[in-house]
Amino acid sequence: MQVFRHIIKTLPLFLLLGCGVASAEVMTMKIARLKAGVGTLHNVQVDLNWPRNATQGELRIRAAYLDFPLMSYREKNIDWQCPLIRTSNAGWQCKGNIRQQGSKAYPLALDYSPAGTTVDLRINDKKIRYENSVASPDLSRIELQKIPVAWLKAYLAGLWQEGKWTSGTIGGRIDVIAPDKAPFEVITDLQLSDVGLETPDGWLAAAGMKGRLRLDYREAGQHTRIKTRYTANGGEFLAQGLYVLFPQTPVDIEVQMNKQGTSNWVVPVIHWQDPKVLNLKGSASLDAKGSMSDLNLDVQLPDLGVARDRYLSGFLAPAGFPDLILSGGTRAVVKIDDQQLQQLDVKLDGINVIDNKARFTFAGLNGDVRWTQLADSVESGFTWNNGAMYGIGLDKAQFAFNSANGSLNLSRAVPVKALEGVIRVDHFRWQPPKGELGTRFELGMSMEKLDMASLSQRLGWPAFTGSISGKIPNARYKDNVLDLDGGLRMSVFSGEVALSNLVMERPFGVAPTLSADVIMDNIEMEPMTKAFDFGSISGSLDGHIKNLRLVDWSPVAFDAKFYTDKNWKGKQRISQKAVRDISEVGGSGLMAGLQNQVLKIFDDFGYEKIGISCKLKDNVCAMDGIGSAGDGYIIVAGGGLPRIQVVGFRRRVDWPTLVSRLKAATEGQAPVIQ
Amino acid sequence: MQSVKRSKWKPMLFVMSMLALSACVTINVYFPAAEAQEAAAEFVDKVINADKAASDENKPADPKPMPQASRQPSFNLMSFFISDAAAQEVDITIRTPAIQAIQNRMSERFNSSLRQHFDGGALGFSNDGLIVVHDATKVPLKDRVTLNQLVADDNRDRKAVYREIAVANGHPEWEGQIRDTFAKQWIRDAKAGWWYQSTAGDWKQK
Repeated sequence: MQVFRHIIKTLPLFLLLGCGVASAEVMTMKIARLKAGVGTLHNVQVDLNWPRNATQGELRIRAAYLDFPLMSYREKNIDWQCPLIRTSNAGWQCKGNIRQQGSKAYPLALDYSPAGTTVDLRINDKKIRYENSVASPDLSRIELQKIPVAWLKAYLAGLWQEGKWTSGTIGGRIDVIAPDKAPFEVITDLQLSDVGLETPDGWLAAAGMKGRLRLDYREAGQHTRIKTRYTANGGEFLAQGLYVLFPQTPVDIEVQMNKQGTSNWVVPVIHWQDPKVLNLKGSASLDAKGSMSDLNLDVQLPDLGVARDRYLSGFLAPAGFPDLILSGGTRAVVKIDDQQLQQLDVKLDGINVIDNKARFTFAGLNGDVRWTQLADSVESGFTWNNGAMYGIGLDKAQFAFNSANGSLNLSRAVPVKALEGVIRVDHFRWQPPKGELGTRFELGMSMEKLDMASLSQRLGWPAFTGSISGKIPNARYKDNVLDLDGGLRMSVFSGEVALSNLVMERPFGVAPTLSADVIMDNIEMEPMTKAFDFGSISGSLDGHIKNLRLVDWSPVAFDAKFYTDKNWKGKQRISQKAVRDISEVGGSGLMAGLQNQVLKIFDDFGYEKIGISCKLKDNVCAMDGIGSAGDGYIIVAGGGLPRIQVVGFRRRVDWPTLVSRLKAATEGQAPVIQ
Repeated sequence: MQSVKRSKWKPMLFVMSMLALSACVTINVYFPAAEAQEAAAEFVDKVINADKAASDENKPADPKPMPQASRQPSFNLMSFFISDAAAQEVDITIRTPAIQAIQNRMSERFNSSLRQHFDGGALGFSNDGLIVVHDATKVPLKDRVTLNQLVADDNRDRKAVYREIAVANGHPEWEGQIRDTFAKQWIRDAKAGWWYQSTAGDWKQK
């Protein structure tokens, strides 16, 4: 439509000329460069053919170039032809077809009267109308109706260079006020319908945008001000991590930007109003490169259940929690100065979080967490009614924090009842990224008498009995690795199992791993073999599992060795079933040192030593015992009479097979001895 | 090819384990570049070449998973005379349950959704063994969030695989080299028209 403005600016001049030479039959005028107001026409040729005594003439205006720098608009080879007639109100009218280079012809109508100029361009139901009245010569009004964004490319590119408008139509009004001395202003009130746009680098994109855009651009001397107000009624929008799915109900967004001379942009008003879902108020300032340097935000999300789909999915999905179930509300106050986080207050209002993969669940999160970079300490605290991690239930807990100088600290140890015992968070400290340093995180915790039976049940382990206690004086989390100092002690079957060098990788991510060194001491075998329904062995067991590594909670590597404790003072007996179970687990490669018939006569046997080792790697268990017997290795060395010896011959056993056999044996399936 | 390779290394593995048991020889292990590349080729092939992968899956990975387990081992004096150089060579295994599980997931993700975005030019292989959205504009907006999620999921799997392969082979410090080996392999196996990032960091179309 900028084309028309130009034609209009130049036409009155020509028409006056036309009046003056009414008697002429043909008039041609060539103008090298015609400059008016906001644009320039180059190589203009105006032809008027008005036959003597005729009631109308034939007007043709051609220009090699139209340059409209304000809107970054350039067009080549413009050609408009129309019959020129006089109107009753002492004006002129011309209706004809206009072409730009290579384009189809569109009807263009021009009305010129002493009161003003109107130009109409119509194509089917699409309409562009230009109006300029003598009463307010500085105001050019453009009215649009169902105009595809593609037509407005130049105008829109003038507003925002990187934006690529891909679809949709625009209707409404654009007022350009370009007086010679007063401020230059563009006031738009546009109706967007199914508008899509994107930037070539893909950082911003929108589709199906429906809404009303009011944009007020004002340039007065050194001062530039842009006021934007957009009322969305549907559509979607993606800006880096933020994905917004606009509801059909109106969402009001207001942004104001100011710039004084060569100083940086300031954004005094940021306002986002999605009633009952998101209420954001803030202000910001940009640095010379256009990135955010200061930011003050107050974000209220009273209904996280709805906000998740409208505003949070773009963050949750890539973080690995696309189906996180959320309810409750939150409010966050953020203050960033010079790209450094200064203050962060988060209020939790009845939040429930449920991971659909059952890795964690927290219900009834209430309270606040306040962090500050300032020296003056701020206090905060929150509670949860109950929670669970990997199926382990956590009772109600209350956390109190204090923060100063950029670190958030737990004020006092927090006991959390779990597994019929207590898990105590002794200390906790969080420091957000600062300068070169990334997020720092420290945690200390201790466990008192957690019930092994409950834990085994939750984790689907065999039915261990006993308890776990321990202290992890310090845990560090960095690059997906959770390193735990100290260790855990489990009291099981009157003995002790100690875990140390605990490291978790990707604790809530893909294939979480757990590495540890395990030492076992004085485990009473009688209750243990009973618990596992593995016959009955009396005596005490020592052993270790070094370099244990679980992936997805299944062992993939370890170096294990178990052997009976020679300091055991009591009887050392092994039941017939236990012998059979051991043989069964060992498969056909294992054999007892007695005839089967003899074996069947006795209920149990004395033993001197039992020991087995397994080095697991690549799904293969490299097995060994307490000594060699020919090609094999001794697992059970008998004592007394009848003397029994269990010898293994397979040194490399397929681990899944071994596990399934162990399971079969402990599930009490009757082994068959041939 | 798989079984040939396995049988070739079987005696070596056995010797290795014997040596490990005897625990009296210090072995310096260098990164087995060729074996790593073979392992990467096998892994990448299964993820990218769906049809072949499907038929692989139908038959068991190895009809006799551990044939050597049934052999009655006899002590071989010769094992003490195996030279250090021979003992240095290591097979790179990718056949742990964890790695296989991730591989299956990656293969499914690749064939159900990622492949079309490689074909369409939206995705590319980065030079650090990951995938990135190379040109988001090739994907309609409504699919972009899903694509971002798929890319994040796949990269989490990729990082886990490189780490787990290094660890499963007893050398966590090889993670970087395994990753580099895979990075090259993904690009090597990329189909014509797919985008990838060269070592220098610029984007090229295969």
